[in-house]
Amino acid sequence: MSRPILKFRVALLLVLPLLPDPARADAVVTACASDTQAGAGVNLAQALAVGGIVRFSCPPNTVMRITGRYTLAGSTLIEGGDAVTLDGNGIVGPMLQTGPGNVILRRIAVRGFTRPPPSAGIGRALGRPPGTVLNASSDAELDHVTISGSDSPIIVRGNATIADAVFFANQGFAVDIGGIASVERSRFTDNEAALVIGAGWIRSSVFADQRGMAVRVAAMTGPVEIRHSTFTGTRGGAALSLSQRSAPGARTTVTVRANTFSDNKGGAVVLFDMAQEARDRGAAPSTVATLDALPPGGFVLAYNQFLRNSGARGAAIAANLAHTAGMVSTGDLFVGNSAAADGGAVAVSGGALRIAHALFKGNHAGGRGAALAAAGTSVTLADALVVVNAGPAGAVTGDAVAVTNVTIADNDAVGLILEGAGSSVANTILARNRPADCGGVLPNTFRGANLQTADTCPGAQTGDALLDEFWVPAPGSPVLSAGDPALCGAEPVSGFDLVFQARGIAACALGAFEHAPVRRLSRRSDRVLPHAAAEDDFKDADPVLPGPQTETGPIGTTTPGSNP
Amino acid sequence: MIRQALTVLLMAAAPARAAEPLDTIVAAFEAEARAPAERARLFIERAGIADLYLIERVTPGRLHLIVNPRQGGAELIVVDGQQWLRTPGGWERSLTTVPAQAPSLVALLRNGLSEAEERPAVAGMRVFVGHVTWTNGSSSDGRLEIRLDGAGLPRVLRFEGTCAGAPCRFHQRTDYDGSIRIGPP
Repeated sequence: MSRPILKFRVALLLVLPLLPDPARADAVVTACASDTQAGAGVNLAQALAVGGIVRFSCPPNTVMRITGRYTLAGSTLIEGGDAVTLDGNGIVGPMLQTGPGNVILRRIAVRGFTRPPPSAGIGRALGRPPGTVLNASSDAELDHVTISGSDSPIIVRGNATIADAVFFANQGFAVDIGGIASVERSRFTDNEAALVIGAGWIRSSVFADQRGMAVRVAAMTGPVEIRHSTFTGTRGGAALSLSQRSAPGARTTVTVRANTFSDNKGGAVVLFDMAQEARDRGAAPSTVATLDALPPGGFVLAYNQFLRNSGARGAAIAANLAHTAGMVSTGDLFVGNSAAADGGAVAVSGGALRIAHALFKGNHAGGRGAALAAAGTSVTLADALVVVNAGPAGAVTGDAVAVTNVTIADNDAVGLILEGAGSSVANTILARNRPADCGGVLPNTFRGANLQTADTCPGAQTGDALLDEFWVPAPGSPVLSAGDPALCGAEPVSGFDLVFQARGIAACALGAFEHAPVRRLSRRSDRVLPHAAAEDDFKDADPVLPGPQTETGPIGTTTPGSNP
Repeated sequence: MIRQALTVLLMAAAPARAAEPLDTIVAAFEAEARAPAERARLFIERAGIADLYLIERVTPGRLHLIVNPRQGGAELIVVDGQQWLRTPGGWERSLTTVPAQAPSLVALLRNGLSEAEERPAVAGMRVFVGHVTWTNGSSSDGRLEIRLDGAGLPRVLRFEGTCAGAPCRFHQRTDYDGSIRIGPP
């Protein structure tokens, strides 16, 4: 739990019971036509003035016309009971402005709030425009809410918790969170842009068909985690835009794990440079210098699927890593992505990139690197399968690329174009790439045992790896024991193949697969698994430790390599 | 967070009440899930087939499991996403598919425990019994007894009933020993 949240909770729990709060009471809205409806009953304006918990006693599917703007005096919970839609019908927001207290919106729909038009002659407005539905100075929670048809509806300067919410057809960013974001099980559809955060997490959410970009992570103030979410159909920008840089004093990591990025037209993951953006918009040199001095962010990607994304370059990942602490990709799948220029799947420049346990299949580039294009980036590529990619200038290209235990096969592109003296290739298979397995590779790039189909990779042996239709070496293939076991056991291969099967210790294979993948749990065995006997039951008073020795010592004793 | 703070507001005027047995039991298993280390001995008998599990867990990410030690059963160690399985040919390492943290019983008990009541203490431990039903691929149903120590942690668990239609019972004894260490073999 973050320190600010913990402090807030402790303070609130200690102080609240001691303070009388005669102004706070709960209210039930019974006048349901509009917020200022006169006559018998309590209208929303009256209820919000009271504060506390605001509920509605309105028929299902009530649409309440909102005509005013409200500043909440204290902490407020607005519980719509899934019965009420608050409709601004185009009025200028914010509908709700919070003071020092927090706000919870629960089970309510809100729509139709706009931003004031820019005032002529006054020039650019100072500061950030407020959220038109909710402009929260401190913390906010949105639970089972629907926000639609509004301009930049939700801005929370504190921490925000959003769960089971729906945002659709909004202009600007649907949600902008300045503090720690906790977003889960929510859906963002057809917004101009979905969400901007600087810290926190997004889980199990769907970002579909945004007209601009989907999620922007700007100047990270704390760790960011995005997982188990779907980004699809983003039309006018990247699905996920990540700032290269953290906020001052932060130096944080963005983790992107187990997401699906599919059919995004402006690329899936793009890194942007805030300093360059400032230069491009003509910001003052001092502003640019300040942004240039921000600490680098780090990026960890794992087990994502990048499917059929398209973009100018790097349709799956387009990253200038120069101002970052590097990017690590583990277990990501890149299938069917297409870039107009370099990097059908991945295009990187500057900094350092480490990719392992990756599949690059069926990607296409109009320029260099049908699968991966690197320029000025130190790339480590290990335990990867690079197959059936197409482009005019290489499947994997770069000037400082270390390739270990990779299979590059059947690409409609030169397999490897490595033009720098800083590249190396080891324990690798190149097979049946057209027009050639290698191009422009310097002597001494290939080290130890490697296998190629035809004689275009200087220093690699020539032969048939006997790859099957899944690019796995068939039994009897010469590559199965040709690898350098020291490389197989060391980083970045670390003793595992593409699908995390253990590599041999005394001898190991070239390429991505150590052997054909097997389902470990269903392995046939003639061994009969022993069962216990009735006398192995025990009395309640017996100690937990029964006593038999094991190879590692009895359970309960200190073992080698103890907890760090 | 905010929700809990407002819950405090709502509860401020409510009279205090004794914890219901289910609340006490759920709190105990929530505390168990938070315990940094745990050692358990679990005996299970299903349709006449018995197994004994010796389990050690250290949060986060470390597990040591021995099955049927007297009979030379399997042994598994999980450390931070890697696992070692003892085979006749030696230890076999791979990336783990086993969660090092067992699924919490809290949800199972909240949803499946009924008629929970407290019985007289035994050996200094609070005793709770109830009827429990759960489904995990197949249905199980029966009587559950839970004993909590002075710190409110579960120490003994007994179940007797049916699992997937066959008679089954299990008996678990648990310790919370902070000196447990688990490392690669």
